[in-house]
Amino acid sequence: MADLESDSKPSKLGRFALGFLKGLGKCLAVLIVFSALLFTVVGLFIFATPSVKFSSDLTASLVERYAPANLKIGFKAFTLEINRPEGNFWAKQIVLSSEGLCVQYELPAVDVCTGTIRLAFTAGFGGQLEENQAIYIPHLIGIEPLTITAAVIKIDLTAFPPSKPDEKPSSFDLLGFVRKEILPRWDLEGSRVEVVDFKIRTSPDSSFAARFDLKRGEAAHQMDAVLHEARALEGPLKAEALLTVMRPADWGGAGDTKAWKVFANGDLTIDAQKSVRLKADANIVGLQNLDFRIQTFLKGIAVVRELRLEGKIDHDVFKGLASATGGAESGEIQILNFVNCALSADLAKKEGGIRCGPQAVKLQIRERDLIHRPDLFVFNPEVDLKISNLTFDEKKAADYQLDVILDHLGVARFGTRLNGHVEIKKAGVEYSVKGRADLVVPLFKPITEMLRRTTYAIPAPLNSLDGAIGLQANVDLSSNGGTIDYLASTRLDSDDQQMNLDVSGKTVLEKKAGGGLSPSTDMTLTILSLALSAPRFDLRAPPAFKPDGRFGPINEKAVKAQLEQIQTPKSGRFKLRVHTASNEAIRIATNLTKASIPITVDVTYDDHNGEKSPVEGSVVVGEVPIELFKRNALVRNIRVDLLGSGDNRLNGLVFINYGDYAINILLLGQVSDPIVRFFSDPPLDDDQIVSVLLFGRPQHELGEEQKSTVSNTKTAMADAVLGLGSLYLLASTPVESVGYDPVSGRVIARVGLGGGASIELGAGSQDAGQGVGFRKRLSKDFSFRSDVETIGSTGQRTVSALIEWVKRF
Amino acid sequence: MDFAKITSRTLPALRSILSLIALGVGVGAFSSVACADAPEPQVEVSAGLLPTPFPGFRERPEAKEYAQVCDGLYATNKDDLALGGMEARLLCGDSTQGPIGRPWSDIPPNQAAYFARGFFQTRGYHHPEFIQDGERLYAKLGSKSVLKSMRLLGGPVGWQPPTRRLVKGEPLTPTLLNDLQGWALSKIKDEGYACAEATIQADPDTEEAVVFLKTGERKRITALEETGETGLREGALDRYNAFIVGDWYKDRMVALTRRRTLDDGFLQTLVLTTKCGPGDNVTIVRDVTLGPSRTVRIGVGGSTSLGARALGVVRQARIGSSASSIEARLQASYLNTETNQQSLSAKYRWFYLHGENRYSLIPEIRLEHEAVSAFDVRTNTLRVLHNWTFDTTEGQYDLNAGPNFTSEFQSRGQNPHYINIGFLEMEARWTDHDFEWFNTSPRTGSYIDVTTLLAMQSLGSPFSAQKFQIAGEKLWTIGAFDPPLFVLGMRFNVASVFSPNEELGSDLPVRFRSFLGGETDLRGYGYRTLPRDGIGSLSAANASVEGRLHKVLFRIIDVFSFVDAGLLGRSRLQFDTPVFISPGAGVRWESPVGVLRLYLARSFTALEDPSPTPYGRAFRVGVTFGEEF
Repeated sequence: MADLESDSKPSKLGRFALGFLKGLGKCLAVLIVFSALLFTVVGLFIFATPSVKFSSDLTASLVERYAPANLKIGFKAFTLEINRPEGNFWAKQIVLSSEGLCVQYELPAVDVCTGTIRLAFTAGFGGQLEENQAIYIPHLIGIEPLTITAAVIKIDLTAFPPSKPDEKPSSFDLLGFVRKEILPRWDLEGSRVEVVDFKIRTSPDSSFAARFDLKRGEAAHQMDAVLHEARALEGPLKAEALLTVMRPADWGGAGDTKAWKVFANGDLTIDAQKSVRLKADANIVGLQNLDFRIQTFLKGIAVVRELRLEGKIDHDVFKGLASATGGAESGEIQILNFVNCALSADLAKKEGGIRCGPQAVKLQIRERDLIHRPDLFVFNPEVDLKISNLTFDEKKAADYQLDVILDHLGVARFGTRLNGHVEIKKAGVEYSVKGRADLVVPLFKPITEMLRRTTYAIPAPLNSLDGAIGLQANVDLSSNGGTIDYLASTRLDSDDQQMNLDVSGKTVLEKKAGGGLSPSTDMTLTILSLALSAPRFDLRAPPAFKPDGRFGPINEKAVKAQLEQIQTPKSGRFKLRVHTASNEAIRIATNLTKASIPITVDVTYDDHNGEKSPVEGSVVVGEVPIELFKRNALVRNIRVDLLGSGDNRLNGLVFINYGDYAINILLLGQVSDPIVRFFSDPPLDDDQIVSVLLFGRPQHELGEEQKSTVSNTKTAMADAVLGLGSLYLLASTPVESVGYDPVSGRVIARVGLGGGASIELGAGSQDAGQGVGFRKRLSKDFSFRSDVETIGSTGQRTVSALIEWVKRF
Repeated sequence: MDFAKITSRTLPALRSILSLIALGVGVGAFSSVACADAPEPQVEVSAGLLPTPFPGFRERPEAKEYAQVCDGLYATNKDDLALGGMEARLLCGDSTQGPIGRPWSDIPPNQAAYFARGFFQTRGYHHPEFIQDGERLYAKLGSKSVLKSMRLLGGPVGWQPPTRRLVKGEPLTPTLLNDLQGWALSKIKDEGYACAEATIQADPDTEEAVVFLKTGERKRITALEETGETGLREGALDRYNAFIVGDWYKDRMVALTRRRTLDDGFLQTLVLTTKCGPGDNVTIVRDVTLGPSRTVRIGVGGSTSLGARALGVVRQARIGSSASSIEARLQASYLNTETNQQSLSAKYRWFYLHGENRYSLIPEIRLEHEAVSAFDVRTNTLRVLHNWTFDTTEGQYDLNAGPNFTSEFQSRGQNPHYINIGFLEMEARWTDHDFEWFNTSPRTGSYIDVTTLLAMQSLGSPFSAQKFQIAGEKLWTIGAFDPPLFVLGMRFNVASVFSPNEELGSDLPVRFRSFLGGETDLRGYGYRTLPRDGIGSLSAANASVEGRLHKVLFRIIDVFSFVDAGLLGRSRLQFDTPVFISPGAGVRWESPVGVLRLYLARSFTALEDPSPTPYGRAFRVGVTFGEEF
């Protein structure tokens, strides 16, 4: 036991430590008790003392000691008073008042000086409690009117130090505190805030100045917020406003069912031409019901000149009407009026919308150049926009459905229903659209007539057609891409022409790596029947049907690339197939043939055809009577195969019956350089056939120039110098002579159309360097010949020239 | 729910709705503000493809500048338009009825404006302005664009193409572009780039044209192919070739070959085309159309020296498989009773070898009468020449040699006589290809001709005499212009008779004697008026220098000046004074029917010994048709 006792006894060191800890514990306990007593005594002193006042010197000493380096506070006088309000022992009125208080933060970021400030509030226990508010927890009981006089405020936002990236935002919700705790307890009516000079710089070249006043209104329970002037220092921006708030006399009682009235009047001048005037009033009942009227006059800002909005908010439900007057006589939109378009919103259901019924909207656009039908430019669309799933907190998004119906004088009918989703994100707006649009033009002729005097007139020969045009599009799009499917059709005709076409296609939009959308289109044009007239063709002088593309700014790079056949990469894709629904569905009437030319087409254009040509397919000209070489001929068929290799292979057969012999002309090779082959029954050689074709006689009956013409023509055809058009020109024109220079590639045909007309076919230089030729043909049998000859008996040589009549036989 | 709560929920919703409304009304936010008392609007024409609408333009004073072209179309510069039939139909509508005309009867102004842009381009107007007032189209043609400068890009490194002349200031039209493109292509093809391609662009604002060339590889002629059945020996046509297989390709030489072949009457049509091969190979493909082998030619012409001229030729080509020929020629000229010529000749050209066959024998009979102021001679000639021609890369050699038997009767002049003479005739001529190509519009190249006539008493001649004659011409184009701006030419002729008998003089046939005067040597003197004794000289030398500014008047007329000088000598290689000098100047026009030259020449002498009958000084006006320097 003794051992045990001896073992259980602490050592000396242990005893000392134990004693020290006990002593320390006693000291701490005494200190805590003393402090508690001190605070209690001080607290009791303060509560017991009716009034405690802290002097300016003490405040100045505290500011000097504890204010951060970047904050400078100065004042003439600053007092803090703690008073006991009457009737409530457990509350204290705290009054802060100052004179000449100036606060500078990160100068020149913030520089504020005031004349006088008085702010008083009462806190403690008692007063009117909120629902569920604990009675034993001290709280803010009331705030007395605030008084600030002669305040001068200068803020330079460009001078603020950059915020530290690792700085955590405060978890204290100041705005929420003010909204929930301060405003309901504040006796605002008696407040007076007088800012005599307010300046703020928002950017190095943009700063604003203002002067405003918050004061008691003329009537009882009225408070006026007067913006005497706000203006931009660097520009003409200027604003004035008066906001009047009138509360019911007995507001704040148990049944706060009386309406607050708010009146607002303001003028905003943006510049000499742009200004806004706003008039609004609202009745706020019990802070749960609100009805308001807003009238806005805009000048030079938007096409709308006046906008009226009235509505009612009952808890979460808003219903209203919107009307507007707008347009400018000289503008694109001359009138834009809408009357009583219904607005609705249900915040609980997160939905809303606007609906403008028939005749509610009147949109009149500027008359297009030369149409003198004002009614054509007035549109009365029905619009119904429905918004649902609206969120406007952290996530700003909505679903929508838009219906637009427009029947424009019976000339065009348009209807669409689109729905989708819109969401505003930091990266931008994301959207989706899904829906369908239909456009029908039931009568094409009135459209043609309407546009006839305009710069958008339908060109000939289409302007003589009448009938209907329809277009339907189905859209499924989003900001990440999507598809548009469309169908279009024409059913047009006239006495001489017809155009029945169907178009179907799809455009797929895909998001590009660098942003934006890249379209890929796959379209099919089906020609059900197309009968058109070509203009009356003049073989002797075919004009330049279109401007010559060689004229324009010189682009050396583009031309070099074209010569070197360098292909530039393309984004997107365009594919179009054009085909006839039946054989010979196309018929072209022309003065060059005795009947319309029947054509069958199946051609596809694809600009993403890799190495291959973008155009592939075939064009077939069917049987058509024609006059060639002054004889009745028959085009059996002409087929052009557009191959992926870029070759346009020609295969045609033309038949001419000459009584004694039947001649067949075969067209082979390339379209640009067709090879002409002849065969006849009974068989003749090519020279004879060409002779018969051109001059109607065998070769031995021809003059020298005619024989030369035969030869030149045959050679030019064999050289494939002449294109199909040129061949036709030769074949359908009474030819007197044909000259062919293979060096320059020039073929000159003198035709018997009067006036000794010459037609030049093929391209080449008129002056390839030779100047006067050695032998120059002047007419059918005459030529100018220059020769080196020996003159006289002396043997001298000279160059001489004679005009010669030449005959070969 | 308190006020703060309700406002916090209501305001964003209101804001959303108002935003949507604003989106709708904001469409015209950028529209301009109405101006009630706006002044009369200015006529501002947009540069787009569509005409600018301007209702009421017809009432404006500016509308008076436009003249009516047709119903609905008004234009400035109306006289410059001269619409063709189809152009008028496409601008003003087709007035004919029927299924073709009806659909095109109403051309709306916007479509007319589109067509008009193309039509105006063909007239050099590239900045038309179109104003539309109802169904009327007002077309202001603006200023005509003319070519100010031209560049060639893409040629071989170091290549300096000539500067194209006579196109600056020309209206910038598609035809001009075709011309410039073809010209550039011919230039690069002359450098050997047989398979080059060209494209052209022109900027009507800067009035500059640029031809872009894609030359490909420089080509050598590596083969000659023939299509078409001629029935001739292989190579018979090669005698006309101005190129040699293996040469660098030159477009001009191919054309010269064709010209030689056709102008000789050998063929009716010959087409020579190039077939581009791999690497530097190009093949010439010859497509032959024989046509009739017989030709009749009857021609007329004239000059101040010889007067009116007439020619009749009957020729049979392609005789036999070696393509020999026979020709009869009758020609005559008449200025007056003292100056006139007539000749009748017949010759046969026999190509007697196979292959390329540039060897031929030419027997010829010639009956001739020549009267000039100095003499009147009738000459009958029989000669058989052996001819050999061959081409090099630069030019052609033409060698002739053979016996000549001449019977000459001189009925007027000093010492009328009758001579029968046999002599050996030899001629060697070298002509470079450029000289031949530009024969009728001389600008470059040269030729030299050496002729020898050898008459020996022991070989059928009544006397021994040898005539040596050398003549030549050289042309330079000064400056790299095409067509040339300045052409400088020089020609010379030296002839002398060597004979043991220095007294022969008038006993010699006219062909052995030398005369000066006329278009070919001394233009200030009449045709063959020197020497004045009418006998002729045993020696003669003349040289000429001519400078010609090409197409400097009205872009079609040349201006030239010249100095001719000549000497005559009574004995071999000895020349006597005076020196005959003949400066002059004139104009030249390459008319559509041949070259016309008009000049004024002055004649005078230098180092003339005192004489009772000095040569004096005189002016002479010359007009020639077809003659060149």
